[in-house]
Amino acid sequence: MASHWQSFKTGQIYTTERHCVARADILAFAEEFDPQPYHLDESAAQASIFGGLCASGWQICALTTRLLIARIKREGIPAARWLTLSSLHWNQPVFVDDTLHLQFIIAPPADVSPPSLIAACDFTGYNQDGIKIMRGSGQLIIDTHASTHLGDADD
Amino acid sequence: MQMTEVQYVRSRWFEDIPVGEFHVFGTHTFSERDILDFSSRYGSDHSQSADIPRTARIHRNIIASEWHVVAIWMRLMVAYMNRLTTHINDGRRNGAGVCIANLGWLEPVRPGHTLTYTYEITAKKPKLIRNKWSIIRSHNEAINQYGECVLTFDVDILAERNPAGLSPP
Repeated sequence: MASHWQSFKTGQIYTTERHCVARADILAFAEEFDPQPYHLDESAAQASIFGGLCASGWQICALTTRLLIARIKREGIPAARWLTLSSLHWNQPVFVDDTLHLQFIIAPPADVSPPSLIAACDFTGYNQDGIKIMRGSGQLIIDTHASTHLGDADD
Repeated sequence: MQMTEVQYVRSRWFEDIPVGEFHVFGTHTFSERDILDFSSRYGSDHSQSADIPRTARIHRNIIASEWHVVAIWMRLMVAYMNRLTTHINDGRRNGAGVCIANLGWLEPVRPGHTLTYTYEITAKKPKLIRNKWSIIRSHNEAINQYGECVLTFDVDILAERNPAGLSPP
């Protein structure tokens, strides 16, 4: 673990994969979790403050977290999740077929002793035009047991 | 999907929402299926997906994705606001979220856990936004069946100002 974290350079900017947000995905999430007119109905959305059908902010949180964790895993870091977010701003709506990615920096944990590690992470999300759609700052918790075991990870 | 009926959430005007108002607005029991479904569709931990054989899962440490716990907050909030409506589609909109702060997932949510969600209006910022909105801040919590707070955050949303009190632009 310690060696993995040491590969993260403080201040280095990491970039996630990109993900295109399809209309069907926006509708599916909104119908189940956020059934408000501007996430479900085109004409209602155009009349709203957003000006068009746009994804639930929570869907964007989940999606960008997924991109973030996948990128961290590529550096050899096992399963991680948010423990806290001290701040998170939705700067711009995410519309149908927008393609998102995150840039982020990580401060490696000072204490690298298992079983759980906490690392500070600041991130900014962009759409395909380079427009900032979100930014946030929080703490990731890494369960050092969660990565490799399927049968014996109970704590 | 073609919506046959558009339901507007008819929120109160900014001026009519008092600081200190407290709501217990919903409860939800998280099933194992729900947790695994959300995790596989929207979560980050691909190892915690529904296609893992049950025999391999039952000893695992299954907990709800962090955004699952929040997505249920949103669903219960929308349902609650809809219950407060009177089917008057007068064009008023509930506020869009601007930002969140102090978000913490304090305890794991496991299959069978039941959360009770609450919010309290904690602040109002009268600064006018686009000549139509101002910001309402609320403090939100989810409490499990053991009385433990498992989720807490503050959210700023836009609330529409009563046009009667606004001077023309």
